[in-house]
Formats: sequence, structure tokens, C-alpha cells
Amino acid sequence: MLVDFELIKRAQGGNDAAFNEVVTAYRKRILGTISRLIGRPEDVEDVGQEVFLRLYFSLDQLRTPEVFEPWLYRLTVNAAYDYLRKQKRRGESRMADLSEQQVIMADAVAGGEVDLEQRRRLQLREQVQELLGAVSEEDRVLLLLKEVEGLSLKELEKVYSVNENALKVRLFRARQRVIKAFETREEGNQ
Amino acid sequence: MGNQSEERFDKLLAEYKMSFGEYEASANFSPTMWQKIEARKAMTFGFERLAQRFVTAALALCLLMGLFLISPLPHTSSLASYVEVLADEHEFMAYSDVTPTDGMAQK
Repeated sequence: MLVDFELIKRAQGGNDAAFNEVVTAYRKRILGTISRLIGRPEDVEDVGQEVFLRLYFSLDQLRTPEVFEPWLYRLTVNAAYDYLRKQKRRGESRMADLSEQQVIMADAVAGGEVDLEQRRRLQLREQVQELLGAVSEEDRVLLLLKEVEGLSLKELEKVYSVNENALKVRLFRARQRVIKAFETREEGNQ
Repeated sequence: MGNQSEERFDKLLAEYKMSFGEYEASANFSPTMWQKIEARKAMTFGFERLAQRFVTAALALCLLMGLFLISPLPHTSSLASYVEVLADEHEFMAYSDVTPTDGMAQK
């Protein structure tokens, strides 16, 4: 826990200063997770604000401060789903159009301002996001939480309120599908 | 191929994680968040006030309707029987049948 239970209780009691402290403590971690889940740096803060907004209005429903972190993760996961679904509805295929950062990067590349390392990182992100397109938004987020964020099955069980075996099956299937897409891609490249 | 692919995929995910580094929030993050919270609060408060007004108006209407139903109505039937009332009405209609209309009076 990054904050003590007392602070959470004060925030639950409607103390805005305490809530602000909670936000400051978790902001970095939550924004980092969101950036890796959605893969669009320009929208990370918007989604992050939505997470803390939902936290502010639902904090009174939290029964015990001990489950605060899984609760916050659940809010993060739900906000990421909502964002990804909205993107899909808008017909903005994840890689079909250029994100703001990609446009800036493309301009910078044209001006010769970007080094090779930055370009490689951008390509890597694009590649992973494209591969994750092989599974649903739900499975994509679940897979990233496990494989990239490093959450254990026990932690995921708390976040999703789903039994561990069901999660294992879902994770296995999602992983297999993405790996298949990865192999197909590699075969195409050879 | 299977195991090799899995290993390469794990490596790719590890590199993907590394490619993001630490995320630093902009200076506007908290002020914008509080603005959004205040806007949502104002919206919720406005809706609550509207709902309260609606409930008050509905209660007042119920009370008025209740009073209207409870209040004694003027006694039109008085002591006359149903047959007497019918007879009175028939008498009145028969009389009005022979009363000339305005058009006939002009002729």
C-alpha cells in the first residue's frame, strides 16, 4: 500500500485534502498502467482523470480500506475497457490512424530530430498493440495486467472477483491467440 | 517453434514494458481532475434539486386532490327521489322544445 488506511478513511469521510494525497500517491502508478494498457500516450491523462473521478464518487462504497488497491485497479481496468470500446466504436482502428504522438514523431523524423532508439520504441509499441488486436478488449487488458504489469493470479482474482482457474483458462486462451498472431506476423516477415 | 515463439513473445512484452518508462503526470492533471469532479458534483446536485422539487410538487398535488375529494359536495339531489328528478328534467326539456329559437323569432 502506498498510503495508510487512515488516509483512505479520511478521504472516505469527504476530506478533499486526504483524497488529493491519495491521488498524488497513486497517480504515477495508475497513469503508467493506463499508458501500457491503452497504448495512446495523448489520452492517458484523460483516462486517468476518469479513474480518479470514479474513485471519488464511489469511495463511500468501499467496505474496508484493505481492499483499496484491487478496487482502484478494477476502476482502472473498467476505465481502460470503456476507452478501448469507445475507440473501437469510433472506428479508429488502433494502428490504422496515427496517434498524436506518432504525428509528432513523424514530423520530428522528417526533421531529423529523432534518434533511432525512439523510433525503435515507437515501432515496438505499435507491433505489440497490433498483436493484441487479435483478442477482445477484456482479454487484452487481462493479458497486459498479467504479463506486463506483473500482477499475480491472486491479485487478479481480487481485481476481477473471478476464481483463479477461470482466469487461468482465459489467460491461456488469450495468450495462445496473441502468440498465433505473432507467429503469423513473423512468418510474413521472413 | 511453439516454445521459441513463446520465449520471443515474452521478450517482446518485456521490451514493450521498458519502452514506456516512468509516466510523469502533467502539471494540469490535478486541477483538471478537480474541475471534472466539481462539474459532476454540480450536475448531480442540480438533478437532486430538480427531483426534490418534483417530489414537492407531486405531494402538493396529491394533497390538493385529497382535499377536493374530502370536501363536501353541493347537495344537488337533496331530498327528491330519482324518479322526481327525472320527471323534473323531462318537464324542463318538454318546455324548451316549444321555445322558439333566435332564428325563428327573427322570421
